[in-house]
Amino acid sequence: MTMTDPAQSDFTKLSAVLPRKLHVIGGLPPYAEAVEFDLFLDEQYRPLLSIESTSIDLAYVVVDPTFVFRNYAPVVAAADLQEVGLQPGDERLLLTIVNLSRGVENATTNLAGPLLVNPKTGNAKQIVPSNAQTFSCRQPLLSAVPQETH
Amino acid sequence: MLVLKRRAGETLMLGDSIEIRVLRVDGDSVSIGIVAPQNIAIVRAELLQEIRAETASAAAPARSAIQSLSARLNANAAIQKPEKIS
Repeated sequence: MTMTDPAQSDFTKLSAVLPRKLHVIGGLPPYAEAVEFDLFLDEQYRPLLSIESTSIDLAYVVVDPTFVFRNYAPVVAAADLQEVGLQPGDERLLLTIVNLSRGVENATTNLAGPLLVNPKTGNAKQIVPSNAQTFSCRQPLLSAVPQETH
Repeated sequence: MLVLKRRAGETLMLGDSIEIRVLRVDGDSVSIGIVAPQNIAIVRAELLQEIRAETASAAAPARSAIQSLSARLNANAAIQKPEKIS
């Protein structure tokens, strides 16, 4: 009899497909000048990842939002897919920026402005999904109610 | 800034492919219909500003806070998603 941890398994899968360098088209306004980022996965910070600019002193924590919000389903415009080199139906990754500036208890993630990532090339872009009005820019992470149970 | 007066039902064009129609005017609220190619993103400006402000305030988190949040998220996941037994 073996026991598996779905969260760990998700992170391991993510770790296998995530590129370690991101080219963020248009940067992350207001820091539009920073477009090249190193991506770090550290098992001790699972499920959180970090991205660090290679040109200026700028770093973010990001997360695969489906770790917490299983049913998160932003509608991505074809033009955004095309911009990062993806076709509809291609494997894509979405990461959302975590905001810890209000303290850990009030940590939020920005579901309205996710990063769309092409896992094969590392090309990425912060997008506004067509259904962004249904998501919050400050979605609490710790009070999240699971949308799917195992 | 170009300023144009339009009445309800009237339209204006941006280039050849973007049509903006004033559908209804109700006090200080205006309903606008937009016809544009799929590759043109149409976003409420305040949402874009909110996303940018949120992105700016999320920069440079402390490592201790990251570790603490990671632990809390994993604890939550353990409670919310019971381990499968196979």
